[in-house]
Amino acid sequence: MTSKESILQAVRNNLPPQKERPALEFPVNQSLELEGAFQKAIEACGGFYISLAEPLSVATWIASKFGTNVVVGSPSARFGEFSKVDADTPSERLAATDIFVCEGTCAVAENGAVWISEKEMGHRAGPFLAQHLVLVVAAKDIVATMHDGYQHISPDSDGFGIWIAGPSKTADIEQSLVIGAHGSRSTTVVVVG
Amino acid sequence: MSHPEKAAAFISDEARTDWHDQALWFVRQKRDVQSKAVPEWEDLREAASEIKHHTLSRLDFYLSQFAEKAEANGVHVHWAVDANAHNEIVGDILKQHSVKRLVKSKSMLTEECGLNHYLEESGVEVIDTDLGERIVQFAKEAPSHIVMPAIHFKKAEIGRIFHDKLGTEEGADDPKYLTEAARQHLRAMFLSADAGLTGVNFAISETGGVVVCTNEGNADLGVHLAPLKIHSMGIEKVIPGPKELSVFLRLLARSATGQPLTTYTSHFHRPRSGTEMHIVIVDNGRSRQLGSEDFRNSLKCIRCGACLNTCPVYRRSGGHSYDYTIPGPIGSILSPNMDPHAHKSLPFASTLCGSCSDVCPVKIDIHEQLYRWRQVLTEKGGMPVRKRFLTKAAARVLSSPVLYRMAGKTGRMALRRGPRRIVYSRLNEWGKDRELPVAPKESFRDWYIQHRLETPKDSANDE
Repeated sequence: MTSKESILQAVRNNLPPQKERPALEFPVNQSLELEGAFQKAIEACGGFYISLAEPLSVATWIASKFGTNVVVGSPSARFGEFSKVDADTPSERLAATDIFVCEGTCAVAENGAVWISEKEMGHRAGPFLAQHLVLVVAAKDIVATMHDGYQHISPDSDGFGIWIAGPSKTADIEQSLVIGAHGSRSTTVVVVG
Repeated sequence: MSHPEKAAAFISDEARTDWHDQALWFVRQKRDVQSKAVPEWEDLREAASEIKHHTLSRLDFYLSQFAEKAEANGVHVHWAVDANAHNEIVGDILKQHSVKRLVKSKSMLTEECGLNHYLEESGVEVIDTDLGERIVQFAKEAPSHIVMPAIHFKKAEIGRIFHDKLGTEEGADDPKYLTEAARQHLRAMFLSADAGLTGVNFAISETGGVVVCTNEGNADLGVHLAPLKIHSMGIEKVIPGPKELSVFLRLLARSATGQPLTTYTSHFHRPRSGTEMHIVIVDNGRSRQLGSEDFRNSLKCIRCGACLNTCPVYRRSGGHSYDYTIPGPIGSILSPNMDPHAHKSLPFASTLCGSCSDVCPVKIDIHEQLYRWRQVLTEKGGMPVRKRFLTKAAARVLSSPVLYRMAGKTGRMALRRGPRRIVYSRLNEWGKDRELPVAPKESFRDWYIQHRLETPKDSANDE
């Protein structure tokens, strides 16, 4: 008997009485102003929120906030003329990148999370290795809760996908919150439209 | 050593005990802010509990489906019957790829299996990359909390450890400064690692993917930069699908640290091209726990740590007093299944206040299982001699109204008339840190007979 068979057999021999798969229905707060709630949530987790009229304004905004003496990388040309990032970009170059810009396909108002998958990232380590992260989402893609989020995106559409809610952080040293642990030192969500 | 013995050492430093207590309670309070901000909180808990009951009742199906989907995604799936099997499987994969340096994100399962020690013996350098875990790794200690491994350390102590291991300034203890030093050090590790290993928060059966939640980003930095990645999971981590996942994600971080969501919630389905992804599914006693009607609900656990944060005993004795991978209330109902002799004192390290059950996001009946383990362990002969004697004596007195009345009368007299050094002698455990109450002149029964009975002569109807 293989280990797989012996484990599955042991499980089968010990199964609890059958219980039905619950139908999961949660109330939808129709009156919630999604973009306002999302802004509150992203700021509460130490992230930044900006609202812009169109995608190409992102480049102007980055220059105004970070200056022009910064290395900005992105897998996409939609937001400006940045250093191209793709799966073959060397990790050291990503680590030396100041700002990484990519598109998110969904944002969740209850917790400030933005969904990005490999397709949007170009390089899987891009959002983590660059010093600062900028995520661009369309206002129409903001949903209320995680339940709505998983109806909006498909977690396995790509080999890797992630919800990112704010900057990396830790409180492991005497419970003092430090923003900027191993991942990005800051996370800004640009809501377009 | 038993929990009481280890705890006695911990609480001998009263100031430090108070500091530890307040630090943990602060986290409990942050959880409460979140739970009160979600109007459907109790519905979420009930849903999570039902999802777990359903999943455990069809665990064989969900595990098989999970493995099938993962393999269809090009992932290597391994099955480990116990801790040794898990370590051998991981060790072999690393050997096949000539791995010299492994970066690891937090996994209580790998702690349970003793993976670090096993790998180090075979010449692999293991770097724990969660900041708290790296601190305890440097200090050669076990984590004292499942979510905040270094919560028992003061920042000055961490400063000393970092000065020694990372060359930070002597005496420096500013958390920002120390975290920056750790960032630089660990980034160098991530960029030079041969393989990355993570635990698994949730395994999605319908899609064959694994979900890992972190605040630091260390799991992602570990696995995206190396050509080989391994994810270790217990059989109980599998859940049906993304719809169920949304319920758990709304509960997990709120319960654990008082955040609506961890910074990173990563979904790993397929390796990036040219690299390998492995998943190791581990039993190690879980199928046995599944078969126990009394204790199977402990398998619902999503490892949030809320029960630790709220437990008055954990807060005032610290994780190391439990001497088990997972301390606190949940650890005390999981550990006797693994080794009933070694961990026999743990279910007794509780006041049975039930706070753990109140905060558990998946509604595990923790305090009830603590009580049932006491029955089981006592029947196995686990109770210390003195306690057995006192319990039997108490049972005799409490089951005899005459003896009970006599004991009460003697006790009240002793409290009112006895010299302090006799009343508060070494035999008086309760009186070690507390003042005993003022003894009333008469018992309630005597007062009742005097003032409430219609006919005083009814008092003649004794046993």
